[in-house]
Amino acid sequence: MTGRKKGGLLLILVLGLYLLLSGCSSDLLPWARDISQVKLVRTMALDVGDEDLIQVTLSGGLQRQGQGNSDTIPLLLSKQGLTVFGSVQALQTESDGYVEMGHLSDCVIGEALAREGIEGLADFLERDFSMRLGTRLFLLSGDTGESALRLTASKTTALADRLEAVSRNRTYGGKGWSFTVRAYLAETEDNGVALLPVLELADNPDYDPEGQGEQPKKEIHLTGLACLTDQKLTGALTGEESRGASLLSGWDQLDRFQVELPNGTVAGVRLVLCQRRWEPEFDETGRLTAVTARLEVQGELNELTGWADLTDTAVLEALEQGFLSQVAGLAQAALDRGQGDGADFLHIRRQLVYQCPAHSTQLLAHWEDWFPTVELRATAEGRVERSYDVDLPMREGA
Amino acid sequence: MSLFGAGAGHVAHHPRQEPELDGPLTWERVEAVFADCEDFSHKEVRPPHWETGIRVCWLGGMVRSERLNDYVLRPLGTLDIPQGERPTRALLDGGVWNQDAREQTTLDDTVAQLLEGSCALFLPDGVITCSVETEEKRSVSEPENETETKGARDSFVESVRTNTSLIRRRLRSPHLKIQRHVVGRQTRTPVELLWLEGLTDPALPARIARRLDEIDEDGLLTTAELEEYLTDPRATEFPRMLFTERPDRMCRGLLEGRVALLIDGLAVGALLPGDVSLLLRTPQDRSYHWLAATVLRVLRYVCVVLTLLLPGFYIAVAEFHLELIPTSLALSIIASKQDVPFPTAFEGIGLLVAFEVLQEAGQRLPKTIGQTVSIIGGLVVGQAAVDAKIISPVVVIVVAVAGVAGFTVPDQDFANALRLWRLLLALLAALAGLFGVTVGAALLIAHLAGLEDHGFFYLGPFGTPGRNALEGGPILRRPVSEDKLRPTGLNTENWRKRG
Repeated sequence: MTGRKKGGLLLILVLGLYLLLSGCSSDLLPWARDISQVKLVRTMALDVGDEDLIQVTLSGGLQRQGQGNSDTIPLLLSKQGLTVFGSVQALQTESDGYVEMGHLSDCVIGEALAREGIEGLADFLERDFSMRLGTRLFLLSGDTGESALRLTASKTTALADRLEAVSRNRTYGGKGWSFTVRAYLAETEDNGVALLPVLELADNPDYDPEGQGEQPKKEIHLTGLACLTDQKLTGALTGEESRGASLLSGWDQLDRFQVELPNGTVAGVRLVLCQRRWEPEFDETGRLTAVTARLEVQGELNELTGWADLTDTAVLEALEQGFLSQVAGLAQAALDRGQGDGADFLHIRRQLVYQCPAHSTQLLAHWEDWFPTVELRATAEGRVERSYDVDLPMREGA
Repeated sequence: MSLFGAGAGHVAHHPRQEPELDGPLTWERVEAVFADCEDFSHKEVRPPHWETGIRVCWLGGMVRSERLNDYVLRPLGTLDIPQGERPTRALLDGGVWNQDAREQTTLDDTVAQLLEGSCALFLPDGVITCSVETEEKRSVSEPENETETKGARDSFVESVRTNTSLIRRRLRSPHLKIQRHVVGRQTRTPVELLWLEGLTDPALPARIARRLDEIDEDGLLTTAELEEYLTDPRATEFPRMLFTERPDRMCRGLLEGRVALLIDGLAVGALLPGDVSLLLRTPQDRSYHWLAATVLRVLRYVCVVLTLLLPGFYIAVAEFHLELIPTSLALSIIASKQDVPFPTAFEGIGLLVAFEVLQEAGQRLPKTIGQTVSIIGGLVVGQAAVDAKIISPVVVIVVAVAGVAGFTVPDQDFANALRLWRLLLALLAALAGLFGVTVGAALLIAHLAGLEDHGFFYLGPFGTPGRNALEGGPILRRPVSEDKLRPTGLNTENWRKRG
């Protein structure tokens, strides 16, 4: 065989091997769909449909990038089906282009569906090849996801933009938006409990019923966290519990505190750094008796409502103690709530198993028994930084 | 009918006739050879006391009249040969004032000398040729295509002897060897082979000299004719010789252990063997600080990847892999493609072809008109096409970026090869998306890796372990004082280039 023939055969062999990489079985080549012929879906809402059906509503958001403002409100497509996948596929016939799910960035789950369980949704998001594991998950309190899509849509804004802003702004300094499909699946797999952010619809004061869709009828706000146990909504964390859970899970460090000083002046302190450490205590039999969440924090003084002598050590100590006790109080509230519900949504077990490999077997075996009775404590250490010269104290009338 | 014209198939080798001109070396025979040649001139000079005259012939325009008159004809007119001495011997011993007077015995050699600018003297006992060639040529000027702000400003001209002098002035070394070969049955083009003895692998100039001698064709008028003979006959569009118009660049190549070729009539020299890293280097790399030069080199490599892959990648993701595009960018692209009737693949490939057409048109026309064509084609027609929604602005940007990135490639032949592969990769992308691009890229790498010339691999500097790795490799430029060794693959006799 000549060298040329050998080269040709080698080329054919290499091309043949490459075909195996194409992942195609029936079709030789990948399936092309031009970008101009697709409708990008950015937000999906899921609700309980008629009888046992699931209602899927899709929105492409505003199609305005690069072309100025849109002159129409975002198109909504809605369909009911036995499965999420079935509904999405049925929607292909409703649109004038191919419904492309690969850019789905947000998924809003109605409260009613969350109470019934979202196993189907989780499975769809996990299995379907076009889905992104980075898709953000939200739970809508007191309404349907479809309402959220419809009522927040206008010519100038869409739910996708608002959720993008929410997730971006709330993770400043934190470890990033944690409530994604990936995190949800991992946490559910870990101990069956996961947290999801809760949204609420509120009236938009700027809404004009006579307007031409310039402003949305409703606004959407992030109100707290919801706890899903075995993929069903079991409870909601609001206020201090929610903030404490955020601190302990590290996804948000943009918290702020108001500390009252001995003379009645209120100091506004921003949390700028928070590091966590879990310290377990075992008795002589190896039983877990207590877990302490130690928070090392750093605050930054941003405002004083009145006079305060910051060169006075006692004032500074009062400021720092007030700040630290509030931080510890938030964390304690979250710990108590989790223990009260019997839901380890902070994934303390996982932390301890990694931290104490010698006790991992017992922790895994007895966690369900130990968790309700183990003493959970939260402590905070740290200081408050001042961003100006402390040698120049604020004086009354200065 | 054949795409390559009649006779594209195998034609049996037919060696040239040796000698080309047979018959005795006589005046009549030479006159017959140059019959119907208007520039063939002759004159008879009769020295004192001679019964017969000496016939002198030359080709007008090839000789310098002053030299012929003052140093050949005038001495002949006063020639006084002692009794019993051979006239030929007397002339060679100082009868004519010429540094290159030589006795000829064959018609072939005599005619060759006449064609090179000598005059022939027909004496009673033999024939002598004297070199009186003209030195009329273009003066040394600044390089047009390889400009440099901090370096030498001279460039090769069409005279091979001037070009060798430009090299000699930089490499004042007795080790610089210059070997002359004549190529072309009809053109008889002088080609000079240069190398540094004791540094270059001796097998390399020997092999190239042999190949030069084996060239048997009518004429050598362009560089590609030489390249195709001297490089291994493999179907590739990638250049394996570096053509440069800068003497300093040629000297750098000689100091690396390569061999150089200078061809009479061409204002460029060639360095070989060539490789990718050589073709992507510029003279400025040595003029700038090593950090700046390294950054620029890296940038050049990035541009090579961009010009090759960007159109294909865009077509692939816009046609097959929408998920790879960030959502906001995807929305921008969709918005820009609204009302455009053509699919992305058609737009991309069509615009690539249009870009090539514009480039070709610009090169074929005179400089001033070429610029006008570029402006009209690129700006006016392009903008009009975007406004008319025939093509989308994103495709214009992608093709323009790829085109501009391609202009950073210093070697035009290499850039042409990249243009060809860019189109091929775009076609593969339109056919099979990123899968096609990957296949194309793999084929390209396999093709490049398989190129070997004179024992030197085209991608050798990237793959050869040892000294190249030690010296920072082909992409990064180390400080001059630390760059001590020559490239490995050239198998130089002397590895070290500085202490």
